[in-house]
Amino acid sequence: MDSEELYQLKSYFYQANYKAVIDHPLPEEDSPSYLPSLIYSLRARLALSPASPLPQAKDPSLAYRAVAAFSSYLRAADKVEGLDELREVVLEVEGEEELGWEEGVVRVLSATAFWREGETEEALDTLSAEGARRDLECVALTAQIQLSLNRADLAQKTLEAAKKWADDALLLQLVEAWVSLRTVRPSVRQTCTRVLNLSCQIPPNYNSSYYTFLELTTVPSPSATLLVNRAIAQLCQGNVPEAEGSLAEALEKDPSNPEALVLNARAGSDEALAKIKQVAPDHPMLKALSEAEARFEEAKTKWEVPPLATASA
Amino acid sequence: MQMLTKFESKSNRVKGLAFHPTRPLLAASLHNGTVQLWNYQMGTLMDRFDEHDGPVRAVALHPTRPLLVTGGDDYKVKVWDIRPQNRRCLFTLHGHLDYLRTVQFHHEMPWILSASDDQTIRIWNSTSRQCIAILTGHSHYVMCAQFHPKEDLIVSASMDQTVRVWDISGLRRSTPNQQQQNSFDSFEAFSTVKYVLEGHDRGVNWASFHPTLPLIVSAADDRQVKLWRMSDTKAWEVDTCRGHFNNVSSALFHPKHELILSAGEDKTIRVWDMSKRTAVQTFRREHDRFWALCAHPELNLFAAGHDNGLIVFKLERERPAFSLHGDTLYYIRDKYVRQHDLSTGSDVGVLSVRKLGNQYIQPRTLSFNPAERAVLVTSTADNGIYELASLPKDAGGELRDSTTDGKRGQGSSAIFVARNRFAVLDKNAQTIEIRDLNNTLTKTIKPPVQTNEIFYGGTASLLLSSPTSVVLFDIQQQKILAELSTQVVKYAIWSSDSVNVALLGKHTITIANKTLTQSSLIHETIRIKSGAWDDSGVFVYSTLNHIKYALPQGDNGIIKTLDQPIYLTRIKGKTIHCLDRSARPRTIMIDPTEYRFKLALLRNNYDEVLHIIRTSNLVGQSIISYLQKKGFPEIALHFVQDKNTRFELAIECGNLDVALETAVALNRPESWNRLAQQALKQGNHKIVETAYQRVRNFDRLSFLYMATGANEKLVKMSKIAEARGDQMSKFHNSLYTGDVVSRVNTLRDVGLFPLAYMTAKTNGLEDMANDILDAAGLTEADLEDVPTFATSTLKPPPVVTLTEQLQWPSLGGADNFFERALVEGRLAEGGAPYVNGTDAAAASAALDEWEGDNAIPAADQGDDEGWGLDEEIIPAVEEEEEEEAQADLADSAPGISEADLWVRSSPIAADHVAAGSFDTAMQLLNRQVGIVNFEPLKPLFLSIYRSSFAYLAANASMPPIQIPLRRQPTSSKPSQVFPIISQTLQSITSGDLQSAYRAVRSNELADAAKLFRSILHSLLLVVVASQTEAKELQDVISSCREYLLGVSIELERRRLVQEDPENVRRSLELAAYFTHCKLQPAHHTIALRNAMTVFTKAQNFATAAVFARKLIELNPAPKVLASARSVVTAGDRNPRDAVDFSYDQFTEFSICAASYTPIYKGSPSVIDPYTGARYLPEYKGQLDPLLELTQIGAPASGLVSFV
Repeated sequence: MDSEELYQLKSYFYQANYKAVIDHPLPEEDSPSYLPSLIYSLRARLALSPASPLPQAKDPSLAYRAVAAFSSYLRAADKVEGLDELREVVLEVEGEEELGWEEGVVRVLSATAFWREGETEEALDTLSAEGARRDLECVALTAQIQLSLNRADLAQKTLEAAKKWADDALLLQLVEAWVSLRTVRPSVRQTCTRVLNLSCQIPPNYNSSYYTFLELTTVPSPSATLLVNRAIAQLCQGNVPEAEGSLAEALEKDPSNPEALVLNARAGSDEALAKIKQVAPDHPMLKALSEAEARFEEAKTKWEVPPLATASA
Repeated sequence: MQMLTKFESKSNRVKGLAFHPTRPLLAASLHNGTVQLWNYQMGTLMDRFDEHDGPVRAVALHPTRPLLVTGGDDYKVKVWDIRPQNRRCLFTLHGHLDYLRTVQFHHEMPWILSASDDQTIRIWNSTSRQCIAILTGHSHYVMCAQFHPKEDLIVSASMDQTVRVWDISGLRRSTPNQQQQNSFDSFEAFSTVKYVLEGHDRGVNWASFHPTLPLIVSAADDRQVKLWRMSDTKAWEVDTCRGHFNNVSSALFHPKHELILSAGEDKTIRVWDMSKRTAVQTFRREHDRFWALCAHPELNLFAAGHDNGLIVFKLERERPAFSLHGDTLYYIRDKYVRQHDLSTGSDVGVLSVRKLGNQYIQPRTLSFNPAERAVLVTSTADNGIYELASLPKDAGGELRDSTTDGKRGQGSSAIFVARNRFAVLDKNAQTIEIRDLNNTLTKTIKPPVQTNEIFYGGTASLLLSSPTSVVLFDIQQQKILAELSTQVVKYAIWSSDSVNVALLGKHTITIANKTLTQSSLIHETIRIKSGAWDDSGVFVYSTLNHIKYALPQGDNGIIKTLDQPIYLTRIKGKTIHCLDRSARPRTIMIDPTEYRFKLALLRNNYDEVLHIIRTSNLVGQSIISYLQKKGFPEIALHFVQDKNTRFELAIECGNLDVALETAVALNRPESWNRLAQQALKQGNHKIVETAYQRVRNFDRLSFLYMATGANEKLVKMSKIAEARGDQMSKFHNSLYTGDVVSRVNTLRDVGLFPLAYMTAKTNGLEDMANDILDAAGLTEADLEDVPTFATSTLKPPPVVTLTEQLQWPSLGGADNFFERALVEGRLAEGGAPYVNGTDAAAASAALDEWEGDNAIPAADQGDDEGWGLDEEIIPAVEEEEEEEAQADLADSAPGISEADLWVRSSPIAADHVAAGSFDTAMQLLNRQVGIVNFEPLKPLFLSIYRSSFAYLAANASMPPIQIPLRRQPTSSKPSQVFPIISQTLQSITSGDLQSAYRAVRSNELADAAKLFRSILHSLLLVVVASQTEAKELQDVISSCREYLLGVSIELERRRLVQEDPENVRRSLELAAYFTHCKLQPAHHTIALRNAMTVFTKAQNFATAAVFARKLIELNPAPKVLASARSVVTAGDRNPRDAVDFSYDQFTEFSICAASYTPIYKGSPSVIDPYTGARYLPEYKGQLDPLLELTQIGAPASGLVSFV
């Protein structure tokens, strides 16, 4: 079992409260939870500011190497080197037996990098290996990738499978919340199935995810990201004023949280849009917008504009 | 009053009867010792119990448990279990010393009451099976004893000429059955005689309580029926009903009406009025004396036992007379015609029919004439009478009686046939009279057939019901239009569009079209009560215990089970309106999905079928078998997940993919065999191969390989055969492959040396032949007498076409409407877990692999292990499946994005914009409102697109997940999700529109124009929730157009004044046109004032006065009013116009939005497809100047803003 400290650290990490992770003092070096804590701390750092360099490694554990490789992947202009290093670590992991949490870290980081590079299959493959089957972080990442692929059905399956052995873990709750935000509710087939009594549960929808986020944000110092997530859940529920409240709270907490800014820009704030361009220039929303603009320009040209009707004409 | 016999049986004398309170069961005890159990609804004998010795007089059914108690002349009380599967005598109660007269179960305690000729009444505990009380006091036979239905009382009648009432409350309080009872004294304490009723002069045969009132009725051998009343302290005789002329066997109260029924040995059943104690009716039987009578505790239903059997009957029909017109139901309750509005539920009495017939007879039919608001009411009294009365125009006030009109006559049925004519049937005389509304006879018709009843038959026609047919009869021409042979028809019900008619008989329904040329017949075993047509053309009807539906072609099914019969009056959607037996209107909700589904299927309305499949949760085993029966197995396939059923269906509709997939799942030899058969039929030899492999049908597999020319596989097969040690198979394979050496070797191996030798010899394998000879220990010399043969030409036919590689082409017919639609639906779900094409493909790919990977190695290692060992194969297969499952998790094929769903399911441009599908959005906008210039809409497009997604941060260092935001958070179907659109009609009308109005008021016209333009842009991409809102949207668009046009005109005028001050004429015109824009009154005054000022300035006083007058009409502020008045006076004083200009204030015109010139009514113009602004024809095809969006005069289908 994880020690109290490590558990706390993990919770912070999962709730995207990366600052708290970094500020959390590391345990004694000879304590068994030293290495995991260190890794989480480093990962939090990378999540917050991908470009920051890592402190020099003292210990060549696989997990540490993976973090280092991931960091170099994030920083370097040429991604190939970092990727190759990650692939190597994954291979080594596969060679080892009984690695425990380290394998999960390696796989999650590698898959993250692969996914970022567009290597969807490789990412999923990395996450679906035998050793990753029982690692919640791998499950969470798998679910996210599946959601991003618009395969909410698969994500739901992943979730259901994980529920069987890790029913109430914090991370799993979060995964469930993500999935419910994307689940298309039961369709014909499922309806029929239900009638024929052949096992089918209606997946809970927006409400359950709202409740999850609500619970996690009604703590003394909620993370801005979760507040934004709550706002999104509220938006999905159709409660616009409440969502605005949550968003304002999030912005107050962290005025440069990219997701908060995006949500703000969604509501029509051009100021926020400008700020995202500074804070997170490669945010998918910006990409989508510029693509949309290009599409617009292209589509527009298909229509020939006749001369304006004026009195002189 | 009528006695309606519902059931009759012939048997030995019936001495005792008992109804079951909730089931249609009747127990009858017979003088010959038999006890019968009847289902009187179906008319079947359910069971008989024959263990009593001698006559059985006493019988009773337990109200809640399946128990029967009987008492016979063998002194025994027997309790029976009546469940068919374990019917038997449970126990016998001994104790009585003489014949048993009656027995009864208590309604809540486990008690049995018995009355006996031994002068005692006993109460038994049926759990402990012991006697718990003996009531003594009667001094002669006790003929009858009954519990009070509610209170702790017993009434008994005895030959000692008394009726006694016993108080047994003491029995309930203690539980004496737990102690040992030895003496009679211990019983006495619990039950005491409360009253002794003396008055009869002979022995009393029967006494019973009133179900609710403190009354008792008794029947005695003095031929009298006496009524008694009880108070808390005493009981007294109320009155006597005299009339029976022999012993009265039984008497009881009617459970619903104030009536007493009695039956006697004078072969009559008599009905008495309870309050007047006068005889109401006597029903006489020719030969049979009545011995027993009993009433159903809940219903208007009675049974009487006589010398030769029993009858079950009811008194008076319960079917209320009613007639439906539109939403209004006219019906008769308690002798009042009532008007019931089905939509609002309001219910008022409109006419009294108290004096029609006699007081005990309810009117039989009601016919309503909407044109004259008149009703025809018939009654069976006096051999049939009818009355015609008009209804008051408005409900309320004192109700008239139908007799005041005085329009009445004789006739068994009377119905309206036209707005001023009605037909009356005189059944005895067999004439039909046509009368007008003054009840004057206009025509008499002799019906062409023996007519029992007439119904409306369409305009100027009648339906005549004869004992064997229904005749459609034309009144005018007096001729038969059509005839349909049916059983007796009791009611005819027309569908609302008068296309179909349902003819209801006792047990049959004939559904026919209006000319009676097409029909279908439905049989029911239970009586049919009523029916009504659904709007969709389904006939819904009620039987005694069900609501059912019938499709026009005759398919029928149950919708709902009923406790009590009802009379359907109307079906509207899911609601059934009906009247119950006490003529109270009720509504019942039903689920019409099943019959709608079947109807849609019947009418080949596949869209509807699909819609139902998608939206309803009907569908169970019955629907599946229905689909199968009707030849739609492929639809059924989509419902089923049960592997077995799926397999069967897939085989039936030849869907090999699904069949293969389910066969893999089932993995049973018989499924594989059936699959192989079906696949062989369709020539899909790949699947055949797989199936044969699975069941290891090597012979067939070999033959298949030969037939398809798969020589390599044949070689493998022979290896396998060798491994299996199956010589026959090896021989076959070598024959198929044409491998002579192997053939010879096989023959040698099995010791058939002669054959091996000959084979080798004839194929020119001399060496081998010699080897064989050696092995057989023979020499050539021994074979001299063997004839020589020519070289064998036997060899397998050459492969012409590589069938192995090819699949027989199959017709693409399987891809029918449903397949397509359902497959699409499934795809839209985002890839359902099964019957997904790729999965099936994966399955077959896996099989190929299996074949490739396992079969050959297995064959290769055949030397040491052999192939036939099951253990080897099955784990291999399982592994395969597991891997498949894993592969599933790693499945990385992207699904359908939500945005695609939006685009796919929405016809609204805004939704396409939100999905980022600008191309299709532009196409939609162009098609709907003719927009060609999209540049001005760009910011709008981008901001809508931007606002339709949120981004959710999930895992660390991962890009966020895109969360599509939906308009309706509760929508459950993928086909009904649409994106959120932040700008709503309300937000625009309450925000931008108001500021635009403000700009108009404050004369900031340039700003106003800009605002109106932007509003009109936004309105293009607004989504509304309802049809009314969509209309509102259109109104807002037109109104904005008028403002924009007006503002533009005024801006143009100001520009003109600035740039070309000389052109006063044009300036005046423009000012005048401005007043013609349809603005709100407050803004209209601005336009009018403006025109007034401009015209006055130009000294066109006359026209200025015209505007001033219009201004005054609008009731402006006092200051403005004053100035307007002065302009009017100026105009009156000086009615001239200084400047000539083109403005005709009297003709209607609209203004060309490009040239700002009038387009007079009737002159040609073209229209802006979006705003509806008008232009002169010469501007057709150009860009509209108001919004600069649309092509003037482009064809357009209209803005869609509502799904």
